[in-house]
Amino acid sequence: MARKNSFENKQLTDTTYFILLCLTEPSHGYALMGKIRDVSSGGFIVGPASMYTNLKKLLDAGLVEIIKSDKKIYRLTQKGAEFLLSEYERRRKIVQQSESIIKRLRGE
Amino acid sequence: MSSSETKKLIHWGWITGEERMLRELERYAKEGWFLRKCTMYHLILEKGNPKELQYTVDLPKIEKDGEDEYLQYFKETGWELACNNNGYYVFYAGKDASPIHTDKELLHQLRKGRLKVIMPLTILFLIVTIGFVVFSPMSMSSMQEIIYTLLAGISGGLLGLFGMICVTLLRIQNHF
Repeated sequence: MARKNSFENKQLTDTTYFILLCLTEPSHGYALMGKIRDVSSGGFIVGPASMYTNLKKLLDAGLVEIIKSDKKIYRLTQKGAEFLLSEYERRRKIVQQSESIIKRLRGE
Repeated sequence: MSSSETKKLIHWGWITGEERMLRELERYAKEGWFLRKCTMYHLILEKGNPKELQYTVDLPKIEKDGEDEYLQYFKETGWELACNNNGYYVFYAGKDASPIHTDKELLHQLRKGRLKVIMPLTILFLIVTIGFVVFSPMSMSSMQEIIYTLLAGISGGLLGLFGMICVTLLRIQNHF
């Protein structure tokens, strides 16, 4: 199924990265949009339609789970935590590998 | 509500003229007409005080018990439901509300999915319509001729509709 396969290469989009990051503490789906805005100091906004669809995709892929069904509280699963750590490492490496070139570009 | 306070607009579905219709609704809101109800082919507007609003439309995949949660996400970000019909949800908000779709990659995937359904239908009706033209019998009774023309017309009409949807989706895809 396409929705499940989109996480096969273990890479996350900026939106799914921020969702998983903010779900390290259980949260209502709708509260996540505010949390992401706060964590990113207002620099990253997730719209309601994108939030709803991405959460469903993450749920289907087993990266998040619902721990309270009446008012749907979501949290990260073990698999989700592994994805988050792996994505953090991938992004950190990209920054690390480009550091010397960027410094040169800035004239440092 | 008296009939003088409502206005009925004809529309041909969100998929073929989404942007144009949304901008039209924003223009009406400035004049004090607000979307309150939608049917398959009509939008019903009600008179109120003029406001600067923005409108948006979504076609979500939601389960029956998921609607409350879905609508709560919109409320939280300042979007109110104007109406919903046939799977489409139309929302309005003040001018400062953030867009409902912020994940372009996801939106691209969703539209690609819709294109995968519509494209084969367009090709099917293209073949059927060409078939009607190419294999038209030489002699037919007047009744057969009416039925033949009617079927060919329906096939051609559906080809036009699906073709228009395909072109719209391809045009939107190219914006990314």
